[in-house]
Amino acid sequence: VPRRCERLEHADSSTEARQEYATRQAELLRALVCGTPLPGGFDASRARAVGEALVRKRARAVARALPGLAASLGDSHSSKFADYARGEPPHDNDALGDAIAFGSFLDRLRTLDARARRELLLARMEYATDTRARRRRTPLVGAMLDRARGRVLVAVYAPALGVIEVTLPFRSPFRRQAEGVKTYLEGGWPSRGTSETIRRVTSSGSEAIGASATRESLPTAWLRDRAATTPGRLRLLAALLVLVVLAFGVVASIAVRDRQQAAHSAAAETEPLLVQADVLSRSLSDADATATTTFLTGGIESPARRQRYLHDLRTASAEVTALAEEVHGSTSANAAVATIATKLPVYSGEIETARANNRQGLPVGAAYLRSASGLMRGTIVPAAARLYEVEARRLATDYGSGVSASAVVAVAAMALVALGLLILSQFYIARLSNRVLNIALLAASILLIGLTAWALTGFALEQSRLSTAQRTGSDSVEVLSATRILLLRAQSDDSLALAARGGGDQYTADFAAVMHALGPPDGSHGLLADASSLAARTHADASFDDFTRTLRGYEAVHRRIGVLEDNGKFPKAVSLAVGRTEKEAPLADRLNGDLKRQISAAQSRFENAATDATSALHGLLPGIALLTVGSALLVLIGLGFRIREYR
Amino acid sequence: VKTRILELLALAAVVAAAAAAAGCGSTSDTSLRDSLDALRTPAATVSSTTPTLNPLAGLVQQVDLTLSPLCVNTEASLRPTELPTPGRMPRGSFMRRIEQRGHLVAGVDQNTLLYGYLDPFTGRLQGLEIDLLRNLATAIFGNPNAIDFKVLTTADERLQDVEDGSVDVVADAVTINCERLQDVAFSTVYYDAQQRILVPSSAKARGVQDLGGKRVCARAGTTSLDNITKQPSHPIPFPVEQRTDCLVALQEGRVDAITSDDSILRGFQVQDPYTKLVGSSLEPEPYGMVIAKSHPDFVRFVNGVLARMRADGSLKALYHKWLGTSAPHVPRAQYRN
Repeated sequence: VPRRCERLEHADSSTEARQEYATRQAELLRALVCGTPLPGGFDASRARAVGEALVRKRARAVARALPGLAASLGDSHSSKFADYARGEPPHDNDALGDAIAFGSFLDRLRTLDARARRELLLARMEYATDTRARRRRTPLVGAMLDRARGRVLVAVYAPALGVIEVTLPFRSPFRRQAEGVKTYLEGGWPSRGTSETIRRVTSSGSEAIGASATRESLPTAWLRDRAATTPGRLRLLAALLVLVVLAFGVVASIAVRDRQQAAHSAAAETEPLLVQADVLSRSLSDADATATTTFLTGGIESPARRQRYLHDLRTASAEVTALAEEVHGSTSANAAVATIATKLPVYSGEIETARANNRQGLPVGAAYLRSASGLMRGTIVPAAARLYEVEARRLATDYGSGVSASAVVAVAAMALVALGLLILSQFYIARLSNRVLNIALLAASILLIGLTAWALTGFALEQSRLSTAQRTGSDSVEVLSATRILLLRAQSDDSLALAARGGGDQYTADFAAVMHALGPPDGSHGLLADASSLAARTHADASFDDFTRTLRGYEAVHRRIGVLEDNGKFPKAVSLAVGRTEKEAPLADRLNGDLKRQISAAQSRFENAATDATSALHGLLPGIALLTVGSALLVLIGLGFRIREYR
Repeated sequence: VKTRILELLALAAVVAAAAAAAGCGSTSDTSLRDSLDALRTPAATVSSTTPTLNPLAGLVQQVDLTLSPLCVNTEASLRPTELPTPGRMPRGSFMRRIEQRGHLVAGVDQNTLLYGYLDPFTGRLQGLEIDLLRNLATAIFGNPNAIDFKVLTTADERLQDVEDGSVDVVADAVTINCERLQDVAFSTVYYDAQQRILVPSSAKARGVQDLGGKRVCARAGTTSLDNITKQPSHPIPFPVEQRTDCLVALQEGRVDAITSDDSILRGFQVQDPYTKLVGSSLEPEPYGMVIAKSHPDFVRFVNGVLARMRADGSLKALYHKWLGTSAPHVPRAQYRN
């Protein structure tokens, strides 16, 4: 006796007779629906007829509930159901449940075709989510494999959307090959050469696949089905709105993150690296200029110059070590760091050899100094300049992505799409339900508008602050530090030309080239023109005027020294440059000091503005997540009310 | 309906805000470009004639030159005239022009110990050649300091600067040879040098024959470099711009030997005791002062000064002052008319 049949007993047994009656009734019922032996006192043939009539009635109800199943079984449906029903009592007044139980029974025996199984799967999803008193609140997924047609059917239940059915092709390469071979065999022997026939066969195989693909493109059919009814349309609309709102959130988050990263990278990574690269270049150039000047002065070197040289060298090694750890990715930057790191010890070694020989009064010291200076000017300083260039370009890239219009455009476009859709749906719903206001949808729109306004304001703020950081900060840093490096190069040219005592034509020419690149102190062209307009922009005219005045003085002294040199008066020229009557070196030091002060002022302007730029986007990312999810929920609530009205 | 109109207005506001946001705060990289352009200013170079390293080219030229009458006896210079009183140079002579200028302009080297070098402490040039030139200044002005030294950095400058008149005379270990005589005039020989080889004390080489495949340093544009390329053992020539750069290269192990005149190599030995001179002379290197061909009167004047120094022993005294006991004999003057 099947387990379920044992439970078919009457619960109420207050009196003997009632109990007796109930027992017999239960036995009869069991005999009728489950085929157990008939209790005594009943006509067996009539009872069998009644039982068969009951089963046929159940079979009809089951066939109505799952017509596909019935159609696929055809005439054998009633006999198969009768076989099944003998062991299974009916579901409690529930034809669909009964039909699903029957279908599952047959499915376990693997006797169902794909159509029947699809119907069964969808019915199961429906039954699990909708036939109970309350609609299911959690998603549910069901799937079946259709081996014969090589596809997988996935049914997904999502609350508020209902069951969505997706068909995925599922086709192993073995199977396709087998089909090809089969077609080939059916097509008979090739008539015009084997290769062509195989190609034909293969192409016919792919044709077949293509055809099945069009036949299986169910989403359009599914959409048509859904759009056929008003609640279906509302569900589609809800899905679309949620999708667009979430997409807006994703796009806005990406845009904000990109901007944040760019601003942060500019403020905290690239610009500091640029400054480090500048300090490196400057200390290398200064070390060389100091070393050459020291040689030029002759005699016992001045402790101040020696200290300055050592300090420069220490700074340079510290910076190159720091940069080696921080320069990633760029091969040219790495190569430059490696060049500096390997050549700097060679340089300092040669300088020390030069000193040792100079102390003994040996001219080979001068040769060592020339060799060291050649290494510095020809290899090390250019490598530092390459490094500086790499960092400067990275900063420019950061600025570019920090103010790129694409972020604003993307966010605004997505906001327009989302808001437009929201507003259109409110019109549509108003027409549908004759209700003017859908509070939830209105709230969702307001949230989106607020969020968009917040994001765009944030972008505008970040952008303008970043641009301020560049225009008043890093632009000045770049121009002024380039000026300083060039001036140091000119100083070193000057010393080397004097040291060569009229033989240093290439240094004189280099001095002229450097001064040409700088331009005249009036700022009419050259790099000083940039510096002058930047000074006007940052209200640093006074200190820039100081600087140009000193530069004019420097150039005047340099011209006097040049005249002395041309007339062969080297001792006097050297004395005027760096010696007892020195005029040029103090001016050069003042120029360096001026530039140093101006650079650090520009640096702090940059830091302030860049910090402001990063803080402009603070809190926007979590805000976007919160507000978009919030408005998506509001959309679901707002449309959910309308959908429920149709149930 | 009102709310939806408001919403439409908000939509328009979004568009406006987006346009404003995109518009404000742009960046430009003008400063960056200008800075980088300025930093990229290439190191200026002065065009200099590169020395010919092809031995055949020199050979062909020499074949032609040996036919020149100047090459019969390269060491013979113009016979001196009687020396005028200092400060009273004959009217119309080149010496007179120098006198009127107020100082002699002389091309020298500042890196060759003992001959012409800068004392790192005093910042003054000194050496055998410097003293010779001071003698010349004394003969013109009566004042050894009426002289401006121009330091020559490349070997080619030694002849070029005389030819273009930027210096009056060069005393910088210039070997008199047939080829150079085509372009400039020389004084009588003031020092007879020999081209030798300097190696580290630890080296096994005993002469140029052991230096096959080794790098041998010499100054570019000198006779020493030409000679080393002609050696049958095929050393690898290593030209440098300034003579003393060879000592740096040897000390840093970049070359295996230096070839130059023994006078210069002795100066190197003083600066680096861990070197030795090896092998016999590769070629005699008679030094003469370089004077422009257009000033034969000045050549005769210089030869007169040298003749007087030979006669009164002051040239010998200069040898002793700078070269000590190892000083060679003062070479005899040879003249032509």
